[in-house]
Amino acid sequence: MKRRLVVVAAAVVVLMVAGCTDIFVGPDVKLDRLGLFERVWRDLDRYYSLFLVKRVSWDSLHDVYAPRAAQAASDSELAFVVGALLSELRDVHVGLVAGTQVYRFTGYDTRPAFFDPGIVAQYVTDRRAAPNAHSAFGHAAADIGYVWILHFQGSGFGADIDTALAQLADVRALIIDVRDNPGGQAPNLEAVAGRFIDRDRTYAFIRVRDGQRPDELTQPEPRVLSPTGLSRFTGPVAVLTNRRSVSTAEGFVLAMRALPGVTIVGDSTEGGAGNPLTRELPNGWTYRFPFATWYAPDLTTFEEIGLAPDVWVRGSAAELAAGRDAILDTALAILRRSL
Amino acid sequence: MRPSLVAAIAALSCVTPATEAQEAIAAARALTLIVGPLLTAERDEHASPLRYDGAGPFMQASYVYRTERVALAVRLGGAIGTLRSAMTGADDLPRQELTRGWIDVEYAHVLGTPRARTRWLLGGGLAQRATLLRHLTVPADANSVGYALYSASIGPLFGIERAIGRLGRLRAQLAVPVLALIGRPYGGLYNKLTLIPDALRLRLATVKAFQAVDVTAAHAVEVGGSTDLVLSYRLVVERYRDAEPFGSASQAMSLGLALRLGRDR
Repeated sequence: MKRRLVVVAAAVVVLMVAGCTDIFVGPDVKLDRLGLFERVWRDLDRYYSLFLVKRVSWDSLHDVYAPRAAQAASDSELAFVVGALLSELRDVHVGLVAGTQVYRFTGYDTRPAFFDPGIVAQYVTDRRAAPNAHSAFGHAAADIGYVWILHFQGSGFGADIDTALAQLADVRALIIDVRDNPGGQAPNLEAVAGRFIDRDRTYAFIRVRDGQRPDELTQPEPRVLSPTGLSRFTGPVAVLTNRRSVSTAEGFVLAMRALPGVTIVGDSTEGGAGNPLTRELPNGWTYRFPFATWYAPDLTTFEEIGLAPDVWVRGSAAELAAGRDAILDTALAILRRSL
Repeated sequence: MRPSLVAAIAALSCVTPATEAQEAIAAARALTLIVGPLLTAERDEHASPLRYDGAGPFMQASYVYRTERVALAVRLGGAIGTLRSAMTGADDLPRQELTRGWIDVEYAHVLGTPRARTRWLLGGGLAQRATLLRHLTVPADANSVGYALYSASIGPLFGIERAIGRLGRLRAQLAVPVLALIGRPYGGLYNKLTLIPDALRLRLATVKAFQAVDVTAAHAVEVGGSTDLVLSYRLVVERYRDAEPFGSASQAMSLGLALRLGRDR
């Protein structure tokens, strides 16, 4: 009996080791250049959530670019064609990574944003990094704290803001700077904004592409911000924005805008309302595009438009050259008036 | 016939002489618990056109009731695993985090002489399976979306049992669904699952669209008064033809114990 058991076990092990599961699934599919193009085009056709905003004729763009893809003499040429197709959408969340070639829409506003952390350091002389280095904080004035959130990528944002608030326990007002913030993950913005909120508040809505037609989207799903963290800051807050505050940084602005006692100061945000997912091609390239879209609480879109500040200040090169940060100056003036 | 089906039947013919299903057939009623590694290869084109494969642990509990003429089995199992593609190389990403669960209900009738040393069984089964792939891509903090395939299928099953010596039993079984309800939900906004209503709709699929083969084989040996040691092997192949096809194959080797309840054989 033992011998039989050993034989059976050995047979099973041989079967497992043979790895025959791969046989049933088959090898990775090889697509020619037109096939690769078609896959990208079809994927966006089916899942891209912002066609109604972009108002492009996706079918017509197929007719324009598919022959070029078919005629591409190299992968590099194909990448250029696909990149050109995607750039027609004018969407900061759409892009192609083809080996070392990266095609990404450069943004809606390429003018200078007049933000220089070096100038800010002249105001916040005790600025230091939070434990997870996602943010830095210090005093912009004796009783006004300053928190600079560089991005919303990674983890540990709750610990960072808790540390900042604990270290700035002596301030009565706070500036949160999300200028040049490229975004990241929504839970991170909520981890930060949750330290300022008094109760659950709906700060945005999300709709996901939900069907073959471009106008088939899910019902708006509320994004609710809840109080969280070790402590809550209840003093007046100014949030600094510019045309490089984008994506999750704009979600943060939406969240903070929903709170009383918060003033948004600076330039309009960039206007990247998409929520992207990354897709793969059989040749190893990746591309991404939004399959969901964020909306303001009144269900208006801010894609390409951005979120307007409460107090508009753009700044200038001359002010920066003089060592002045016009947006920060304005925020300080507003907060001093409110104290 | 599809090459994969031919291969599956070939695999069955390989394992039939040496192995059995996952329950101890010696008992009138038996509870069996098995654990082991599950190897999975899949290509869900909804998630990626690339093939992902990898391994992870699985566990299955089953209850079997049998008389001389019939056998009824209910199996409940689950598995997790981490799958990678050939494109991943030494990198951590991209990868897929696999979660799979299944509930099988099978009824089989003994053909011919019930007390024969070799018994042939014919019956039917209802198999419910859900596979969720959480697709993680570069960069590491990119939005991760989960893609699932749910199937509830019915079809015939064929089995053979043979007593081996005084204490052992071999059993092999092949189940081939002919009709299925298929759902392909997906969704996810960062770590908050957001299901897309359109994707929740179930679709009826015949073998033209949904093909699956479930081969189980096991060897049970009595090790105590009411306990059997069960060594088993299972191969499940699924294919769903869709605008974005799904293909999956998994094989599991497991070791477990069957506790015989009530009267003995």
